[in-house]
This record gives sequence, structure tokens and C-alpha cells, in this order.
Amino acid sequence: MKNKMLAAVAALATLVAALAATSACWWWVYQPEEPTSLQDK
Amino acid sequence: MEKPTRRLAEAVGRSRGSTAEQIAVMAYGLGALGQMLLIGALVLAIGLCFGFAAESMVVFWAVGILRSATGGAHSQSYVCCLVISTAAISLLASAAFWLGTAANGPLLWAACALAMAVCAAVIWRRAPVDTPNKPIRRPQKIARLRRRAFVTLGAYAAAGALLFFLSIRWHPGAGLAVALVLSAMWQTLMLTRGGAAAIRGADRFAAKAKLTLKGGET
Repeated sequence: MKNKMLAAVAALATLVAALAATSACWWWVYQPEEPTSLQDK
Repeated sequence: MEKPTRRLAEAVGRSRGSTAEQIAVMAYGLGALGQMLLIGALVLAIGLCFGFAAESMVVFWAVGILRSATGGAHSQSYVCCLVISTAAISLLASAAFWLGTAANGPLLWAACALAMAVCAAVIWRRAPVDTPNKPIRRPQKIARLRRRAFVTLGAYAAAGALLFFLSIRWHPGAGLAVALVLSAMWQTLMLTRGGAAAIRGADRFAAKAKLTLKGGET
């Protein structure tokens, strides 16, 4: 059960990170440094 | 706030044998999700207390969605962002509620149409506006984001017009329509030098008030 929950958290966090990466901005007025693998290069 | 999300990502990553980069991506995603939920909960609570919760939710989502395509001025810290966002959403929502209740009529509709036209012109000239923490360099991405910003703004204009039409019989419609227009105006302001200066001023005020340290530490 715990493993499934951790897997769900990991999947959700990665999905949100990918969505944020395809956008111009995170959400409202704060933008932390983007991880290298998500950067627009 | 970045520290707890980093710790959670590290705990999840360790249990799954993730690499350092995968953990950084999870921390980034959890941070975004946390910020969104925190701001959403705060403005909903304020809106419920003062009677403009629907307008608050419209501004919260409308600015967030438009901003994801246009970018704009950014604060240097998580806490300052939280304060600016919560204050801005609540002020815009209360203004929308008041204007929709007290000033609904052809004059308000014309002013909103004019405001949307100005927003479209500014977005055409300036979007997307990036930040050193998330540079946007590829021309294809710039074109895609600009197109998305225009589609979003067009959808807001259409929804606003429909809500104004419905407000003839359904009074809350006017407040919601004004909330959409004020959201577009706020986000357009964030694309300009004036908006960037206002955010820098708020950052300086927050630093003086020791609200936060650079890098999101509270």
C-alpha cells in the first residue's frame, strides 16, 4: 500500500513538473530554477 | 516551502531508487503543486469569508492558465509570491464582485471590451516573457506559447461576453465576467516594465520586512 502511494506521488509530481516545463511559468509569480532535464535547450 | 517539498521528493525518490535528477524533477513538480494548492486554499478561504469566493476562483484559475502561456514578472521568493498572489487575487475578486453588482450595464461592457482589446495588443507585442530561472529560447516554443496565449484570451473574451449576456437575468454573471477581464488585465500588466517594477518593489519591501530570504527560505 505504502509503495503504491509513493509511486502515485512520484507519478503526480513528475506529471506536474512536465506540465510546468511546457509552460512559460510555474504558477503565479514565483519561479524556482528548473531542473536541467526539463530546460528548454 | 521548497525545503519540505524537497524532503518529500527525496523520501519518495530514495524508496524508489530514483536518480538525483529524477528527485529534482519530483521536487519541482511537488513545489508547483504545493504553491497552487496553498494559494488556492488561501484565496478560497478569504473569498468565503467576504462573499466573493466564486470571483476569487475565477481570478485564481484565469490568471494561472493565462500566465502559463504568457509568463511575466516574477518574485524572488516563495513567501513574497504567496503574499502578492493572495492579495492580488482577493483585491481583483472583490473589485469584480463590486463592479458586477453596482455598475453592470452597457458602459461596463464597453469598458471591458476595450480592456480586452488592449490586453490582446500588449500580449501580441510582449508574450511570452521569460525569467532567468526558466529561459525560453526555442522560436517554436515562443510561437506556440504566443498562440496559446491568444487562444486563452479569446476564450476569456467569449466567456465574458456570454456571462454579460446571461447577467441580464442571472446577476452573478456580471461579477464573473469582470473577474475574467480583470484577470487578463493583471496578467497583461505583468508583461510590462511597470508590472516588473511593482513586483521588484514588493520584493524589496518583503526583504526589508524580513518576510523571507532569497531562495524561498522563510
